[in-house]
Amino acid sequence: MATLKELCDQERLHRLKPDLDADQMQRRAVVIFDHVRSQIAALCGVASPTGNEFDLDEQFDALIYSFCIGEQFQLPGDFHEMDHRDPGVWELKTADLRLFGWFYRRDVFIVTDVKDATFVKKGPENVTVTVSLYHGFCTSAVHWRDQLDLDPPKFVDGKHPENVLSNYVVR
Amino acid sequence: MESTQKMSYQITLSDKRGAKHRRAAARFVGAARRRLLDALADHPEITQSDIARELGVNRAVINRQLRGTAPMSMTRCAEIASVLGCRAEVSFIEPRKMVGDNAANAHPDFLQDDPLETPNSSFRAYYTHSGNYRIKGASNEPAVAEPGHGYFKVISASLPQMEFGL
Repeated sequence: MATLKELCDQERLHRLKPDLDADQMQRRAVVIFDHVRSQIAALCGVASPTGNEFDLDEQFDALIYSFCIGEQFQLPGDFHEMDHRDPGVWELKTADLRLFGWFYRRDVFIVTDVKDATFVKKGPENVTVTVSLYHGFCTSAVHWRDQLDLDPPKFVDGKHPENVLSNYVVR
Repeated sequence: MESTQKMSYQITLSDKRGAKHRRAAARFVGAARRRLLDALADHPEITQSDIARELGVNRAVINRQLRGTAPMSMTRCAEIASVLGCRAEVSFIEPRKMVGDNAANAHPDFLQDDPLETPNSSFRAYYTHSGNYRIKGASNEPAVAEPGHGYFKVISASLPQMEFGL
């Protein structure tokens, strides 16, 4: 078993540190699995498929930034719990992105997948049948969580947003 | 792409010209959308259909702009604010050069065994259960600190009184 910090030191996980000004401080933290790095890299320069004015990597940065500085998040517009057989899987979202994972502690989110929302909702473009991949990504989050040698409790249980996030509002 | 692979771990998503400014814009527009949704929630008697009718556009246009699936111009932002009876204002903030009072509000739970690095500085600041803020400077010597005017003022006896600027 290892602490979150030890797993970061071992580079099995990586903590995101968005560019902040000198007078800004992180109030929340985002930690990603190593494999998520390539998913983030794949976002670079990809235009929004829905008409948002910003590319996917720019949306990703804005989301991580607003999360980390502790901006008021809106439920369900910015985050919500996933309806899945296993508890504790949550999603952070932008217009075009879905970040799957779980809250290790309140305000500490561990990301297991970062995907284009259109892909998650409809599946690959070259498949003619529309297939929602939400369930699969939730299962993936649970898989990574089970595999991770993290000190218990590994995740915040319970569906109430108060348990996982400070400064939120239900819309 | 290469810079993304080197994240250890300031995110470097893109090095292309102007990328930094694009990210700043995305952060700004994201915050503006949230504030608009806040204002809308403060006026439950006004619906998106009401806004669309007032502005002479289809409701779906307003919905997409608020959800972020269509661009939100500053004009539209101000128009929606006006329909809600609000005045939209924009501030241009020059970031302070020193660690500010915000640092004092750093999230405590995550910091217990994992000091949060103060952005852009060699000092580490973390919250203690006694309500103080501890910092470690380059000397690695712990010191009790209190928020000063835009930076931390060290009040520990273990170090000579000094102020950390950046």
